[in-house]
Amino acid sequence: MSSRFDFFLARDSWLHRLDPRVKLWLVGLAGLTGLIYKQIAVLAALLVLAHLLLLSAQVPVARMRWLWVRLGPLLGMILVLQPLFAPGPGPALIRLGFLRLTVSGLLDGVSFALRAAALAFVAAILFLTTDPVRLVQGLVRLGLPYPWGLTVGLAIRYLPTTYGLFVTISEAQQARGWIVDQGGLGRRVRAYLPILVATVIAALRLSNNLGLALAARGLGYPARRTALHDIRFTASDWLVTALVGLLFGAAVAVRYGLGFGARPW
Amino acid sequence: MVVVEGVRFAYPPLSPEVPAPWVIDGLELTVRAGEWLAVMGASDSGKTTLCLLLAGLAPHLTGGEMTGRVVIAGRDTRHHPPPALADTVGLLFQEPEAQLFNPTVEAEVAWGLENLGLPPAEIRARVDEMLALLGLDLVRYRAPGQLSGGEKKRLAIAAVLAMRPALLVLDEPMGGLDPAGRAQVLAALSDLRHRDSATIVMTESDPEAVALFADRMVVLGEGRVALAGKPRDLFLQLDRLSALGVATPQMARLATALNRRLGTDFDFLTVDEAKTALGECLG
Repeated sequence: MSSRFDFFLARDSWLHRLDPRVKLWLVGLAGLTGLIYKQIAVLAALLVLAHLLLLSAQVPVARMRWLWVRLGPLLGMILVLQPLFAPGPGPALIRLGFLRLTVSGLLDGVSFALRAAALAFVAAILFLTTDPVRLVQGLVRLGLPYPWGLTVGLAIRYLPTTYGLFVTISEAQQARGWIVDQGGLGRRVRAYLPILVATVIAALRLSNNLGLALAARGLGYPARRTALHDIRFTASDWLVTALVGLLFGAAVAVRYGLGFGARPW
Repeated sequence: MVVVEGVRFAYPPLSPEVPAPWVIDGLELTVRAGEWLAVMGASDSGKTTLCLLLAGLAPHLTGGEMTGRVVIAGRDTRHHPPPALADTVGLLFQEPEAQLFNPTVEAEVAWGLENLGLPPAEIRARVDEMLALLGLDLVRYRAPGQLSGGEKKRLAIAAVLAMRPALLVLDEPMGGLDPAGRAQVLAALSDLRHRDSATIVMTESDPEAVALFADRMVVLGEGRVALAGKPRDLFLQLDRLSALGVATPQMARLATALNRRLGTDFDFLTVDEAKTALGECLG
C-alpha cells in the first residue's frame, strides 16, 4: 500500500519535537474549548489557530486543502440540516411546509460547522505531526497498557491504509469498466457496494496477517519492553504544557465566569 | 532443533457442516541444529502452513484442528504461545507488507528487539548491523510504504534476522527480489548461519537458490513429505519432481539431458559447476 495515504508527515518542526503527551494535552484542551464555546468568532479563531500551528509544523497547504475537501460533505450537511431541522426561536425568514428557516438556526448551523472543522483540524495537529511510535510511547507513559497503546497507534496507521485500499480497489474496478459516478443516488450507492465488500475483505485479510506478524515478532513476549528512542519531557514541553493549561483556564473562566460564548453571536 | 511428529492440521471449516480438509496430513520432519533445509512443493502443498506451525502461529492464532506435535528447541508449540517462541523462532512471511507497520525502516527493525526487552545500545547496534548487511542504511528514516518491493522484502528479512533467532523460518524469501537483492539476502542468511549457527527452514520455489545454499531439501505433496534428500540427488530426479510440481535448476536439466544422451554422469546444478565439469570433460 502506498504511503500516500499515511497521516503522519515526518518533518523537523517544534511541534514534531514536542513530547506526544504534551500534544495530547494540547489537542484535548483545544478540543474541549471547541466544545464549550458556541461563539462563531471563538470557533473561527480556534480554526485559524489550528491552521497556523499546522503551518508552523511545515504541514503543506495541499494537505490542509485535502482535509477541507474530505470535510466538505459533512460541513455542507451540517450547514443545511441544522437550520432546517433545529430552527430555534425567532421569526421565520422562509417557510417550506413544516420547515422554517430562522436567523438563529442559520447561526447555529454555522457554529456547529465551524466547531466540526475546528475539532478536525485540532485533531490533525496530533496525527500529522506525531510519529505513531512516539504516540504509542506517550499513551503507554500515560498509563495505557502497551497492547492498548499499540492498538490505538495501529488504528491510526491503518485508517488511511484502509482508505487507500478502498481507493485502489475502486480505481481497479473502474479501470475494468465498472461505472460508479453516473445515475441517481440509489444507483451510485449500489455501484459502490461491491467495492465496499472487496475493501472489507481485503482489510480483514490485512488485519489477520498483521495479527500473526505481531505475535511472531514477540508482542506479548514475557519481558519488560524497552525502546530504541525513549520519550523525555524537556523544558519546552513543560513550557507548552503550562501555556496550554493557562489558556484553557482563561477560556473556561471567560466562558463560565463571564458567561461569554454560550450563543453563536 | 525441530521435530515434527505425526502432524495433521486443518484450518477452521468455512461451514460447520463441511469438515475442512487436512492441509498437513501426517507430516514427519526433523531438522538438525545448524542445518539449512529447503522446503519445496506445488502451490497448496502446505508449505506456508508448515511455516505457521513451526512458529506456533498455527493453531494458536489461526484456529483449526491439529494432532501430533511440533517441538522447537525442546519446546512443544502446543504449550508455548507464539510470543514466547519469538526469541527462538523468527518467521518471515511471504508477503512483506503484512509485517511492516512501523513509520520508519529503523523503527521496523527495532520493534521486535524492543519486545524482547534488549537494552537500547544493543538494539541500536543490531539495527545498524542489519541495515548495513541488507543495504538499507540509506533508507533508514524512510517510511516502509515508500520502499520498492525488493526493499520491503529486505526490510522484513532484516527485522527478523535482527532478533537472531536460533530457528529462522523463511516463507519464499527470494520472491519479488531482483538479482542484486537476492544476492544480498542470501549473503546475509549465509553470514548469520555461520556466525550464529542458526538453523534455517526455507520454503522456496527458486531451485537455483536451493541448489546453492540448502544442505537438504524436502518436497511436500498432499501435506506430507513426498521426497527428501540432498538437493544434488533430488534435482536430478526430474520426472519425480515434475510430477510433484517442483521446478528444477536449468543446469540440472542440462546435466540430466547430457547423461541420457551421452551416458555421462554429470551432477552439476549451477553454472559454475557446469563450467568446471564440462571443462574437465572437454579437456
